[in-house]
Amino acid sequence: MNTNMNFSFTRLMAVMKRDMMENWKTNIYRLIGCYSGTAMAFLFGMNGILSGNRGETGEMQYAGFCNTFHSILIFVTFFYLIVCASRIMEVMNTKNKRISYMMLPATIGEKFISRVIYVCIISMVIFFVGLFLAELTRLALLPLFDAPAEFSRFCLFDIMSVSFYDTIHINPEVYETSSTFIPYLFLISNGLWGHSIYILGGTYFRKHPFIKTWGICMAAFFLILYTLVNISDEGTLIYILKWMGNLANISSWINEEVIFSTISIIFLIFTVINWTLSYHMFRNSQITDRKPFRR
Amino acid sequence: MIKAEHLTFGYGKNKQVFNDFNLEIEKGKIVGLLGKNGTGKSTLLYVICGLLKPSNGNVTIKGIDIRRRLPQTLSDIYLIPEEFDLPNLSMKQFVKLNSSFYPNFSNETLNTCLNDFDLGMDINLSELSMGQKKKAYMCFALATNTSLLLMDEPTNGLDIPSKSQFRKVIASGMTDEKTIIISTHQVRDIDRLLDHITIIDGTEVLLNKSVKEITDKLYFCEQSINEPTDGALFIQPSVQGNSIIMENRFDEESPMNLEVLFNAILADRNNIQKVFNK
Repeated sequence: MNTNMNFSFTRLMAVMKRDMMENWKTNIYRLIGCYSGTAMAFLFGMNGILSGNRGETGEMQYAGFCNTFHSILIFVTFFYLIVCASRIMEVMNTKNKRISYMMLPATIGEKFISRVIYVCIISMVIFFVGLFLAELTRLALLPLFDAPAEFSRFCLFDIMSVSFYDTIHINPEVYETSSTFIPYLFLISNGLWGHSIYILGGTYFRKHPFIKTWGICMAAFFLILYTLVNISDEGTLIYILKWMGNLANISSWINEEVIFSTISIIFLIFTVINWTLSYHMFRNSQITDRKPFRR
Repeated sequence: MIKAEHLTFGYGKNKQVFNDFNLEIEKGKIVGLLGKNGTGKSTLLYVICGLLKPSNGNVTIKGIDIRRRLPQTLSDIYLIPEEFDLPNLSMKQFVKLNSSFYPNFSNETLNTCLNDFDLGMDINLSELSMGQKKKAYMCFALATNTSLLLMDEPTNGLDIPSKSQFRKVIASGMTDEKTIIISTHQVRDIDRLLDHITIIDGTEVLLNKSVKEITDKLYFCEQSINEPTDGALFIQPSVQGNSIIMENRFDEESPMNLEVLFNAILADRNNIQKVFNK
């Protein structure tokens, strides 16, 4: 084993392998959970669409199935990702585990990257393996449902290829913006920021990090909502739209795209800040309580 | 080997454990770290291996600041805490996953040690009793061949035959390049094993002497209750009568009674210290 102080890929792999193998039971349970959850959702969802048929063609029923599961899948994937993100310090949630992990001969950077890969990538692989197996189960049990021929297609690709505009029910030809990139950027930056909050929560809270982070987010959300509601008597949305309109009047180059791009960049900056703070707290971990600004 | 300088550490403002604490430990020694409850023995072990960061001062191992937690330093230290969790794996798998982090890992040492403790490589670590877990973990720790091995209450949970096996295993694995620090209250389990005694009370080191120095200067004996105790530095009632520490004026060798020495240091440290200063 390389014992130098610089980054070593061999060491990173060894840390990850140790992490994976020592927690093999958790990984198996997670896979079973993902598989059974998605399999049940697929089967009940398909059964619901088929039994509620009001004369639609098989193609329409299948499209409805894909559209429904597209939205559900985005929500569930994001939810699953933030739950996994909040468990970034799972290997250090007891004193005994902290001693074992902190004494492991690898750099702090390697240990952090290993955890990030685990909660962001390996967890997603587990999720998609579960999803894949669930889809195979749906196909295997299809003869029991008397479903149209369209349902015998491998639906995961069709679910994932449902367009963004179908999901948010906006016709791109009518939509004013000339770029399809900005709405995606806005959504992705929002998602990354939200995910990074749970990474930060995971590095700060030792016990029940997800619930605590979610609680704080909810409290902050309601506080902001309360403030927004009280901004104007005529209605907050109207007020914000007017404010955006005024901004556009001030200068010709300020339009919705610029405003949404700016907001996206702000979200991305906050994402970087959250990740930096998370690493800072991970680096300063001791076997006692975590403190964000300890020397 | 280990140098702790001006250490200040506390668990919060009202729980100060070390205040300007200094300690130096040489290599090639088995050091007994003793102290009353709450005087910071385990804390000192954690600070030495970088698991806790002092608010002031620093600890260096072979000249490297432990707070940096460099892989090269961590691969040369092994800590056996008082309590630990072992994964749901066989010993073979555990070794496969963890041995690569330790460049001097010896499978031969591991097998010998496991044999001494009547354990095999196929044991499932999660199915062992507490004592067996401790033995298996200790074997892995010894097999890493790190130059610093820290043990916190290693004999807790071990049965009587295992305690003597423990002494044998530690003694057989010892080299001039290794340092073993054993923090314990079970002094009778290890007193024949140690070649250096360090007694701390958090703010200062009460005693930091080699066993040879101690037995050269002090004479330990047991007397019946009727025998005179004139000139005794410390007297402790025992089953036989009295356990006594005297100044070793006639260069007689006596086996060190660590328990009595510890009590003597706590009761009247200056009286004992005077003998060492002569």
